[in-house]
Amino acid sequence: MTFERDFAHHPLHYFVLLCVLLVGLWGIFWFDYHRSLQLGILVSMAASYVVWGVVHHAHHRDLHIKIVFEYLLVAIFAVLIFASLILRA
Amino acid sequence: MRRFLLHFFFPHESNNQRAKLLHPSGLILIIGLFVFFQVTINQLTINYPQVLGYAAQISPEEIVRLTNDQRQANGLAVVRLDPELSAAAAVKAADMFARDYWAHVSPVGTQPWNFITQSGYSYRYAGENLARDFSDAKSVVDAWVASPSHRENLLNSRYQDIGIAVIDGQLEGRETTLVVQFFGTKLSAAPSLGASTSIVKSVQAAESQPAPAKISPFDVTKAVSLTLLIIFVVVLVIDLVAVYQKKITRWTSKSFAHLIFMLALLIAAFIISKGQIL
Repeated sequence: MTFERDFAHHPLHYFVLLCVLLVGLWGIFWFDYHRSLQLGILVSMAASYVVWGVVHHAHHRDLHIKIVFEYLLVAIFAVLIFASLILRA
Repeated sequence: MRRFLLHFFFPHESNNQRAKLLHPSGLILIIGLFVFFQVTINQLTINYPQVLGYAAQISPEEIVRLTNDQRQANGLAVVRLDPELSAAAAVKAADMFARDYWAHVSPVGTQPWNFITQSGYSYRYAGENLARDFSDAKSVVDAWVASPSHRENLLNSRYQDIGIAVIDGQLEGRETTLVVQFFGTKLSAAPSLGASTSIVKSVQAAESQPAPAKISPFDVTKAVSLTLLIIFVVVLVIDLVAVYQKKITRWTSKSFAHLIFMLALLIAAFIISKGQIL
């Protein structure tokens, strides 16, 4: 399914994803003085992202372990990047 | 070369119409390379601290000046630099390096107030802010002001004196500069109205002081991280455009969702700056 059809079928899914990420970004910005909290927020964003992927594909009836693995890898990559920055800051 | 670039970054027949970078194997490769990069940075920081390390330009006088600017802007009296409080701050910083801790209370239970008392300063009120890994005085004070609890300490009307120490050393396995800021009011001073005791706060600040210019591990990590994220964003945009134009149907994770997530991460990575608050 191409992006525009996917988006047209599930606008609410993408809206929820966008809201979760925006709230997370606000938290990271707001708690600029609290490194561990920032990392916690980013980990929560990454976990929410994986859950979003699973729910979205389950809804599509095309959920496969390979797809879950892809979301998981992207989430791990995100946490790794952010944690490296936090630890070196 | 062209074939490699096509294969790695563009949807193509060779990669099943999806950039190899977005395949699980591509992601694992990038994650592995990033971990290797971080381990290398760690080793270089330890073995070649003169090249890859933290270097700060923090002047205690500048911190006092910026602190007083903040106080005056909030209608408070300025605090005076007190040599006894500064000596106490220096001993506290030395103790933190010697015992290797980043906390208000030392591992053996020594309170910040003990350092103040031992310096000969009998206090009615006292407070502490700590900072590490910042690169300049303004960043330190800005970080304190941004934190509600540290700000409360900085803008406390009960304080009349200030002591500052900016000391370089190795803390928790890495080169850093500690900034210890003590506030106080002498016991002999006229008591002010309101509650009595003190608040202890710490903020992480600047890098090493007299050291020459070095390459900051944070700056290197940030540059590499932002570059990687931008590459991912560009590859995802290319993927979306290609899928749209060629009407490719695939059974994979959603590139648009990845794109939104990567953009959020890019903004988050951009926000992070040097220095931390405890």
